[in-house]
Amino acid sequence: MHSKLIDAVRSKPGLGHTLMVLWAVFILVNYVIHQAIINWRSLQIVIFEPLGAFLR
Amino acid sequence: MIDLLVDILLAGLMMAALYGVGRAVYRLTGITAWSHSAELACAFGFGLGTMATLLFLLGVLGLLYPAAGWILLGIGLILAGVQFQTLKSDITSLWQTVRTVFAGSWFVKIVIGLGLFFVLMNLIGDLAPPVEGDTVQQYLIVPRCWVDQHRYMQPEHIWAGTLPGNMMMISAWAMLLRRSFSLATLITGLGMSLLLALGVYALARLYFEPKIAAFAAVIIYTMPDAVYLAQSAKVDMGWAFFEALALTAFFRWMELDRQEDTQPDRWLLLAGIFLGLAAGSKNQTWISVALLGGWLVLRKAAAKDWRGLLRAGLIFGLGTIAAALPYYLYNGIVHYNPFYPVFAGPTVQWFGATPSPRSELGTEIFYPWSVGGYFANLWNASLGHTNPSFYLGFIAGPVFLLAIPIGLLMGTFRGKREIWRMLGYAFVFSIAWFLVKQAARHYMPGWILLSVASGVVFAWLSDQRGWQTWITRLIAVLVLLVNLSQGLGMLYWNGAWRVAFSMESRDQYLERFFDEVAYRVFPDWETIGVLNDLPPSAKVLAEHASYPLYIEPDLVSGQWGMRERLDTITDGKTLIELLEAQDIDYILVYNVDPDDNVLFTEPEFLSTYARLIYDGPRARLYQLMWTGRE
Repeated sequence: MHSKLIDAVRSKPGLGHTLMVLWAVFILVNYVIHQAIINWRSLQIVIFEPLGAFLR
Repeated sequence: MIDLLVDILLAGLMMAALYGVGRAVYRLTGITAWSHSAELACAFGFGLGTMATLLFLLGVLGLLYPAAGWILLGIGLILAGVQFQTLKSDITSLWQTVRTVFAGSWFVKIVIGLGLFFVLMNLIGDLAPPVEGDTVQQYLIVPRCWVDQHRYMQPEHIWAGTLPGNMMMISAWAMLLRRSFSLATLITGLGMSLLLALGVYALARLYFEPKIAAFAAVIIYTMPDAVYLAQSAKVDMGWAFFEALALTAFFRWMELDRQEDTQPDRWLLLAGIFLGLAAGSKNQTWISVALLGGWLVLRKAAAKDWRGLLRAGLIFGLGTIAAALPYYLYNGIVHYNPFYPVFAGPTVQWFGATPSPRSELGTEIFYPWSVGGYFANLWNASLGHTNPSFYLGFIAGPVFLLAIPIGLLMGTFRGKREIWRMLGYAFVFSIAWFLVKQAARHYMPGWILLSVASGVVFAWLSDQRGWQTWITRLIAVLVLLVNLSQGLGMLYWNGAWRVAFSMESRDQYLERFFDEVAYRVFPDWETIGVLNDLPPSAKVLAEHASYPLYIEPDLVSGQWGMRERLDTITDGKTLIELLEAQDIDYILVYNVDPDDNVLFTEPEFLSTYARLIYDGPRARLYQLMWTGRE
């Protein structure tokens, strides 16, 4: 089944590489989003609150 | 500054001593490894196992004195000196490998360079006194008790007191040489993390060229979870090193077993021994014992080699049991339960074993046991657990999630039977991991194998031309940079870098950490000072027994007590009788505690049975009023 998948991908020139890039971008974007959600509070403390205090 | 340099020097000498002992044992075994790295990894495994076992024996005999620590160091260094030519050849080979690998493409240079930067970052983190939770509450306080009492014992007020102690013994060795918790962290965290990378490198070299192996080593080393563990004195890095060695030896055995022209038994025995040493470091290893043992059985049964099955089973099983024996035998004798506190419930019923308020099983299960839960855990263990209502620790990072599907899609693994075996084993292990304990650090055997598979993909990417692979390589580097940002964020948060750059002494660092960084359910520096003014033999009950490493009297937690929960008792008289029976003299209460609903922190209980002796900005300390103890 895995060989069939590879053969199918290879039968269309450029398909494999395009899927590879899309997958890589998808993972990176997800990683950044996950980290942003987790670190939102940290960002508030480290950047936004001091910046707000400075601007005031 | 001198303090830091002495710790770095001593950590280096300890590693050299492990090398000296290990290389000597390696000679005695008569095995021939497939690469210099494999020789080196096995030698360090032998050295680590021998030293940890010797320290345990010294502990049982009540000989854990500084002199014993120095003698062990001296023996190791003499053995390293005697084998100077081998040492020189190992260092030359290591340098040659780095040079060869570094001569590759920009992608190789950046990835390897990032790996080296992670090492530097971990070194900087480890030079400050450790503040990681389990380190300061469990894994360094147990060896501190051993060193203080000069013997192996199991402090009742610490949950980790009965856990397998190979890695804690290595921390104790560091403390025998110098009462520096940073030295212990340097060796048990940073030192073991480097050995893990070496173990993964050696495993990859069994089948692949140095470039792939170097990628695999960097991939495991740059996991955010590995950074977290390398900057702690938790037992996981040393445990993972032994697991990597066991997997390497097991794969080697399978190779030789198939060829039938050499003696594979030695490698199977080594797989068992390394697995036993892993079990002596962390009791979760029994999952690996079951799975690798199961694999062995299936392999031999498929070939209908029943005699071979019996022989292989005996070699593997006896190797494991012999190496794992010390702590399990001790627990079996003392608690009637070799795995204590795991399985405490049934063993109490069956054998009248020592009861425990907490078993290790099921303590880190947050995702539901379903197909969806399995994938959610795998996804979030790679990218980040976004649900703030639970804590599963640091993550593995998305390199595996990025690389392995690409390898599958692009046919990178085609014809590589060993990679399919690794992926298969990692998959089976992931199910056990999901069912037993879901934090990323408990899946180390899986990450080890997935690192090798990902290393193959990274090497393939580095050899390809075209804008698509260029972008994918760039994204791989960005992913590693996001991993790095988590480590740097940790350093920024606790300010540990200030110690490494001599902007703060270690005491100043701790003072700032406790007063400005730590949450308000942790003691501030003033409270720590007050607690340290109490008699060192005092016992202090606290709902949050936080950071006891920096406090001389014993901090007893409500959840664990002296192996009996104290936070669930609702009758004042019963509680006070129990506290008196357990010689607990003081109660520490934090001023800010929204979850505060335990009896021993309630004002009515305290006004009846205790008197206030310290009222500080963050905590209050009460002395219990027993007969004759007012």
